[in-house]
Amino acid sequence: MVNVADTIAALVLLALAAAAWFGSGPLPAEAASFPRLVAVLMGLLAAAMLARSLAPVITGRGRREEQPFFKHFPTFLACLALILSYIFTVSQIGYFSATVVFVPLFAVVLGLRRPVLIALTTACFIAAVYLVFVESFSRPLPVEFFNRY
Amino acid sequence: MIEPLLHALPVVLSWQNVLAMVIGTLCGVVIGALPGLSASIAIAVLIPLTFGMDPLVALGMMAGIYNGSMYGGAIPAVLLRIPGTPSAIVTTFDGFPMSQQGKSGAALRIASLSSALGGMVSAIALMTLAPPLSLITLAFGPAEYFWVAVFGLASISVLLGDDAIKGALSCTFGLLVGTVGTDLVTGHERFAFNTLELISGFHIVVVLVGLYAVPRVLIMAEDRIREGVAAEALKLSGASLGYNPFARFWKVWTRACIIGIIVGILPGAGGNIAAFLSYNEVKRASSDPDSFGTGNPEGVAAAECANNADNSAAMIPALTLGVPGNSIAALILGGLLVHGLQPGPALFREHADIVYGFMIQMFLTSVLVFVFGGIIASRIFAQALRLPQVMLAPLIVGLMIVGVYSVNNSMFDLYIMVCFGLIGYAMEKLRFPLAPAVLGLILGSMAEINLRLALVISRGDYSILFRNTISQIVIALVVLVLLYPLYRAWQDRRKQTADSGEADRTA
Repeated sequence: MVNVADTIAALVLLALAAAAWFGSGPLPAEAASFPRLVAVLMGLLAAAMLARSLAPVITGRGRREEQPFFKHFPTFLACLALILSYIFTVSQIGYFSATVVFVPLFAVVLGLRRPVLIALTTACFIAAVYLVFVESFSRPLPVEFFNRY
Repeated sequence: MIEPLLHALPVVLSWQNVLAMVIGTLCGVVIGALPGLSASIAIAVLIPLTFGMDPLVALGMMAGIYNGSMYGGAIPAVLLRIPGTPSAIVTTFDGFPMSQQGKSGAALRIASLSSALGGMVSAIALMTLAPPLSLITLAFGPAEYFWVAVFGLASISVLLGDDAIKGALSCTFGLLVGTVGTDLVTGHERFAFNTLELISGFHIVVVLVGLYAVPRVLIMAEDRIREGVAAEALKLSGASLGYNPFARFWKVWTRACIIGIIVGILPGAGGNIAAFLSYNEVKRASSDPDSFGTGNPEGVAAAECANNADNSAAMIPALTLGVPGNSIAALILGGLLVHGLQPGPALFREHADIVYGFMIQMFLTSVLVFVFGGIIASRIFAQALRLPQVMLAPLIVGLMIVGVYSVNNSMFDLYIMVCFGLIGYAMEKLRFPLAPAVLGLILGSMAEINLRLALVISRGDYSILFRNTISQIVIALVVLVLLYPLYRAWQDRRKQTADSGEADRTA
């Protein structure tokens, strides 16, 4: 049986190596030499990996069980969507406002049903980030929507 | 050696530094105690926090996280048979049986004492070995540095993990990522696609957080562990040892320290390998090897002492050559670079207070592990396990966002972080090791610049790379490292043949 995941990974890496090789074409030789060296190495290694993952088809030996790539795809997708929405919301309404919404939402979407724990943890987290990043180290964060005007 | 250490001592003992070490160690123990989180993730997420700090304060915090997390991993290993960090796997062998016999308190006391001792001896090895090694590197020119970078990349790629091809591919990915941005020699943009944010390349912190922290959050979410550990499971009992640990364990600790330090110096091998080797050696030398695995305190002492003895030793090649001994050392190296500190002899000459101060911090944070490893403290730290993992995931996302944003005050970096996160997730699922990619990113520029410098000096003559004796020695080491997987495969095949022959004879 072909190791599908490894085969796809090897093909993606081969494509990346080719893109790096051709992408460095317009550069002067001196600037292009190192990326091209890396691209060649990557291409050779990806080809070796591809050959290895296809070997069971050719030899008919070495069958092995494959682990599923996603353990729980809907949760993966929900989590990714939440991270992206969190980032987008931070840019729109500010870090702390977005965090007040997203930390509890995240926990609820992931199946936690303990409102007191969620509220307390969110409050402590926001207080800690404010004290450390804003008060102690004066790190600039995206401005809150209520402070913009 | 003593003089620069004495110079650095007052700086290290300033209240800001002490506070950073205490906070770092506390955070490290808690993070280490939480299964799924490790020192790598903690350091990756916290590096941005250190931007506003004095470099030594930042390093003190990282030293605390590093040493603290190595001990913290023992808490769930002993109480629940769940290693908090990969290095604590061996601690479960005897730690959990001790816990079942009602001696969890004793097991944790032995773990904290052994971790502290291993860390302290390792820090002394760092103080003793790194300065003379840094003087040797004064004889290195661009060609030698190029080969040292190649050696570091080859060893981490090939020796870390069990698949040399995937390790090497991970490394080439890191090297390629490192080429994005303006070429420092010609000033040409490489793979920047006319995007302003990419002209200076990917910031190392953005890549680190993406590769290490985002996949962990996604995996935690997929695991959907909605309940924390019940309070009853975290009760400690039987704290009294009933004997003098120094009299009983000194031989075990000596063996474990030697193994941990040697493994730490070798690039590619981490604390888990040190713990395994040490456990096996102590078991082999024991008069009662059969008691190992059934709750022998010497098993806990061997594992914990060795995995902490690996810590500072892994910084020896990192500080002197820029080649880290393990993945956490690679991240601390990234932290040094963020603060503008380039490893090598210049670091010891120009920033002596910082580098010697860091060595003292590695020692002091090991002492703190002993202080915080007491029964009351361990009981408190164990409570972190009561927090459900699904609650932990959004908090890590919140920290990632605030940390990565504060690197360049850029929202673009956050999206880049997610992209690297997806790549890191795929790499984890496909069993590509992450550390070679990080090292490729860190050492790529060192390799490229020194290669080009060597060729400029020789006017394009490639023989400059092979002429010098030091280069030849390093090349020989590179060849040995690259041949190792073939040797391992040959050994495996021989063993398989022998096993099948044995089975045939039995049949």
